[in-house]
Amino acid sequence: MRRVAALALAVTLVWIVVGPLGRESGHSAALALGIALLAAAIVGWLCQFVRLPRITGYLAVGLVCGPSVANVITEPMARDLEAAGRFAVAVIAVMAGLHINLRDLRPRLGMLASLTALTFVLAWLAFAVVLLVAWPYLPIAPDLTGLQLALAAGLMATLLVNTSPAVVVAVVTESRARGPFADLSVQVIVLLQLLTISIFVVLLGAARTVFGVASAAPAEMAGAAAWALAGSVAFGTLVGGLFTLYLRYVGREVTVVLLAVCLILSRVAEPLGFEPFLAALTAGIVVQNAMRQVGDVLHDAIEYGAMPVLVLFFAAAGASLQVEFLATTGLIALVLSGVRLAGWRAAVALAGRAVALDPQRRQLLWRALLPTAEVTLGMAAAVALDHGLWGTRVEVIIGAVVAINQLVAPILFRAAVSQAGEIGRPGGGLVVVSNREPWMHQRTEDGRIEAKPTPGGVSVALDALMRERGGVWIAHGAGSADRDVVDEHDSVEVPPDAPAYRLRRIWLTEAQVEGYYAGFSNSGLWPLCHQAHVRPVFKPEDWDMYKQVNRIFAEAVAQEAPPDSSVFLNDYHLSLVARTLRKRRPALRTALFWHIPWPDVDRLRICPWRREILEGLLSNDLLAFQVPRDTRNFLTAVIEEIGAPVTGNTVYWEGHTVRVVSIPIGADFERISTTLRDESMPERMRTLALELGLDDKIVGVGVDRLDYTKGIPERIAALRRLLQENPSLADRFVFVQIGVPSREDVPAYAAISAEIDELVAEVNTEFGRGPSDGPIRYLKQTFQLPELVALYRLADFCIVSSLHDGMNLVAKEFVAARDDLDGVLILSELAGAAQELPEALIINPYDERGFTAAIARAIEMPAWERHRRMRALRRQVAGRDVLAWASDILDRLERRKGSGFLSG
Amino acid sequence: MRQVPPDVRRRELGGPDPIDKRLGGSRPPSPLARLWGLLRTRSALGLAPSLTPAVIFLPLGFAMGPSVLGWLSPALLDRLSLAVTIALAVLGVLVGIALGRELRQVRQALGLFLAASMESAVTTLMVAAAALFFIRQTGMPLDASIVGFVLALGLCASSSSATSADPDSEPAAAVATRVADLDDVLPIALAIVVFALLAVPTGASVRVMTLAPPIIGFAVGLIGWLLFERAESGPERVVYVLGTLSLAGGAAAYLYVSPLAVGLVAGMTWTLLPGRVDRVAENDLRRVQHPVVVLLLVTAGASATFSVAAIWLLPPYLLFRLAGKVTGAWLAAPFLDVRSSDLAAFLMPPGVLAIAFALNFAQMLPTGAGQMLLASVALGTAAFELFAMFVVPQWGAGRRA
Repeated sequence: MRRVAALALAVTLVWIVVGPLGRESGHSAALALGIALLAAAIVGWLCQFVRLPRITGYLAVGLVCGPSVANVITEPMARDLEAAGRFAVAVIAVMAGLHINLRDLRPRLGMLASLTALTFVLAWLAFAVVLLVAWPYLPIAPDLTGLQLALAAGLMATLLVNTSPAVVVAVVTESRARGPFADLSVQVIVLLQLLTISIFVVLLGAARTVFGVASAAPAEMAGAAAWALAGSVAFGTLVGGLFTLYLRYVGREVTVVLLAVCLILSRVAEPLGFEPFLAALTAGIVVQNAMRQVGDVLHDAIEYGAMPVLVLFFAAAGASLQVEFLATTGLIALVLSGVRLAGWRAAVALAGRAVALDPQRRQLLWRALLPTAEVTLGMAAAVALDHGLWGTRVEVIIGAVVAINQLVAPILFRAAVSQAGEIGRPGGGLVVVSNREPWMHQRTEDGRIEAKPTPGGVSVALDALMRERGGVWIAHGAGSADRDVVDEHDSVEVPPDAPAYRLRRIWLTEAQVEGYYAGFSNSGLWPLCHQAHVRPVFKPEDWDMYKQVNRIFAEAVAQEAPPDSSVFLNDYHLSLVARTLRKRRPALRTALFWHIPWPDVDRLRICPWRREILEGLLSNDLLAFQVPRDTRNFLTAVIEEIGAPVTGNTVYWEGHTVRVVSIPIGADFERISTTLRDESMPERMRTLALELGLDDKIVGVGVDRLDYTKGIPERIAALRRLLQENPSLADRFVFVQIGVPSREDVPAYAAISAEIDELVAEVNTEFGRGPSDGPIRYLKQTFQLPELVALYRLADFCIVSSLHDGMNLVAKEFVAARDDLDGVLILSELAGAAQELPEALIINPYDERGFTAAIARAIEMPAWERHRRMRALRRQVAGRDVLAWASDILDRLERRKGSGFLSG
Repeated sequence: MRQVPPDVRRRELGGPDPIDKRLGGSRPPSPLARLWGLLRTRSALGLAPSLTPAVIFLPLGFAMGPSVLGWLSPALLDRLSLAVTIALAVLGVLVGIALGRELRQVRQALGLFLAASMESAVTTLMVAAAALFFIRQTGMPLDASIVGFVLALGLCASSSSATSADPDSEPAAAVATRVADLDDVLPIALAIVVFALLAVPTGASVRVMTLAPPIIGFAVGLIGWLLFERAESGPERVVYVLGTLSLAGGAAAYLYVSPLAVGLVAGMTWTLLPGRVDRVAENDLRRVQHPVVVLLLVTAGASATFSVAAIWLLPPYLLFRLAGKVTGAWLAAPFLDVRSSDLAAFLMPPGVLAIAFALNFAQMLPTGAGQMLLASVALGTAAFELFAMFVVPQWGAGRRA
């Protein structure tokens, strides 16, 4: 509804600007671009609800708003759009070229070439014969005879044979079709286009000689034709080669450079006498095949650049459709369109049988050959230019044929792709895999079963995403009543109040949990990845259990994932799942987010099974870390340990490409904002302040799991030094330390918990009235979000002093809770969050003096500086919240599910 | 109390490696390496303080333009006007978003806004008055309304970017940064009137010229608000953002009004309406921010023709902009609780917005006057950026020590 309202507003605005207010000489290009993009995108979006291709919507908008009908896009505006359309053709041709992977095609190249050539010959002959027979009745030049007639009919047959790779690529792209039929369609259509252009150039040259249009000798004409063809290929090869080098050695601002390359191809080729489409197509083929990994670097660039270009191209095509031609030659065009349809159908059937094409594809392929567009019109214009009267008549008839096909052919082709079962359900087929489940069923003391959501931003974000998109979540069932509520497939619909997705539970034995979770994951990988001076423990039996449990998860995914699903693997517990999945279900696309830091390569070598872990991770299609530092460390490890080729952020590994990116996780900003707006918040703050004795005090806060990576002893040491240096602070200063008990069965955790107890008691005894009555209020418990937000709001500063941390969400949650723009964040430079939040007071937890000085500075910081820093911090945290993080990962994974040229 | 060592943050932001610093005594870099360092993308795009974009891209544009190499031919520059129009709308949106955010805390921002506006108004008036006097006295030929022309020149002069200030370095720098953000608002608003003045000879309705920018901006703002948060994917959102900004720039260009003003109103609308549309738009615009800056500067450099008149106009422009900034800062400083000399120092660099104003007016003015204005402002901007780069840090540091 909002989109439709926006469309109505946009059209009204343009109508007012162009109509009552406008002046004849106004510059129209940007206005045309704006209305074309907006209206076409919205109508295209509406089209998918009636199972029409989006491009039909784009074309319809161009047609309806264009000069032929409503004249919102006026004649000069349409001309401006046409200029942009030529650029779009180059982009589409490059995209089509990227689809041609010669290495993959090699085994089928013979079949493809035979199929294309045979189809072309049969269809061309059929059209030529029909035209020759019908020529005396066509309003073109009935008096032509002999060779002139043969060439005129041949040229017109070539125009009828010509197809539109642009339409086919557009339909495949926008419908996110993926499969052998979509691939075959693009490959055949590209080869067909090459063949058609070549034949057309030759025939046009011959016609010039026979009709006496040009004074040049036949040899010169042939030379010109050869120059056009060979020159286009050479020019495309040169541009494509340079672009490949750029991608290989620079690889920055790829979208902008790609568009610049297309601009060069569209603007420079024509004045040199080259065919822009052919040159751009060649450039795309060169990029794809010169260095295979490089093709994948274009992923994001094409994805972001493709949609505006396609919208623009088809809206421009719609606006320039000359429907008035239909009035004069509509009947003939309709008949010729029918002939075309029948011709293609018969040709594909015969050629397909000859090359033993799969029957289903044989039945559907002709629909990919129906679309015809821009290039055909350009060719018809060339005929008109050379051959005056009869050429113009041919142009009018072909224009009408193109108009009919533009409106009908995309619909038929999309239906064919759908019939082949290659159009994915938008947003469907999502599988989330995590160790912890999003909903846990617990039996209460009175015997009732209670469903509780798992706290934590990641779980909440993924749950929200699953509610929206549906799918399956696979996790370890650890609740006391989890087994009581599942069906025969170990599944339960959640959330309990409004079921939206299925939770499939995995059952693990105690030994498995001990070995895989407490053992390898938390006693091995966790200390390996966090440089906190706790020795990682790697036991072979834990490793065996880790592998076993990862296989169990992978099997569950293999069973549950619908075809073409996106699988999201959450965290370091599941590093081997993708490896098994790639063998069991190679068509699935997987992404893994590694929440904790990735160690440098020397430290990684401590792990005896590092190569297996690296190989497991490289089996994903997308691998995401928190910050670029982790990405760099991982890529270095890949190069040194595996020796796999790495280009930019792409690893080429066992025949597929893996994108390695950093996508920092964010806080649940909206949820915290909602909590802040709750009416009970002021009362909650008052109660908390009273309970903790915070009134009239300078309040600091620290919220951590009791973990040796969090730097809590270092924090207490800094606080102690602060109080020693400023004894007068002791009476007016309180530091609230929340310590959430964690992994208490792991010895290192038990040790840190005892150490913190001791340190707190010492400080409180030294500066207060006893071990538990001093400036540090130590609460060893879990706080619910409302209480936590209230505490953050009461604090003058918050300390995050991690010795090493992937991100640290406490830092971001504190910022999210400070909508009063007050409060100071003291943040360890060893936490990933420090790379995103430079406006915090950055400290090094090992530098006790610096740390103490930062706390003192936070206490003394003037209001204007606190506000300025907090405003900047909030801008950052609000702009990248946890939902944006989850959507970002899945969007990137989804993008890799496009057709071959998008999936690399 | 001890301060946190400043290099704690610098290290995190990619400053010099501490080990390299300790080892010291390495060979000085060759002149080529030094030049390469200066031309690094980061510096060139203004991400590092070593060199501001105007100093690089204005001369580069001039070198590529029709006057020197001819790579950017007049026909191509004409084609680029489409992109320039959209880029101007983008800049307007960014200023509008900054203003909208300040307006959210209207009490704190009001004083700042008034002070910033006073500073820019003083600069505008001083430069305009000086230019008027100079043109009248010298009888310089002008093919446009003289009042419109001198006001346009004054508005170009009033822009500041505070690029030489590190907002974290001291309170005055932080205040100057915010003043520099806000002192562009009044000129953009006044530009609407100047556009109307310039359009009078063409027979356009002054009322339409004055009312159109806010109305179009608001309508475009509403369209964006309805669309951006509804996009199902990043690429779809890009189409909406691009379409909306093209509509903003396009409608402005069609009616000969200022795309900057239209963008400003749209940006403010996005910030003030409920939801997160301003953040969504800002995120997408951040991707194109650097290309937009480069496009505007290169186009300005290539389009400028350095006529004798433009060169003659430069001294009064430089002198009275300097005087205007100093006087404006002197008047504004008491309201901002900073030293006027510090504020004036930080407000010296004009930034890309001065060039944006000049390009915008050049599109509207007759060719001769437009060329003269663009050339004077381009030279003036480069001069002030260099001045700010080399002189301001010493000047400020010396006075504050």
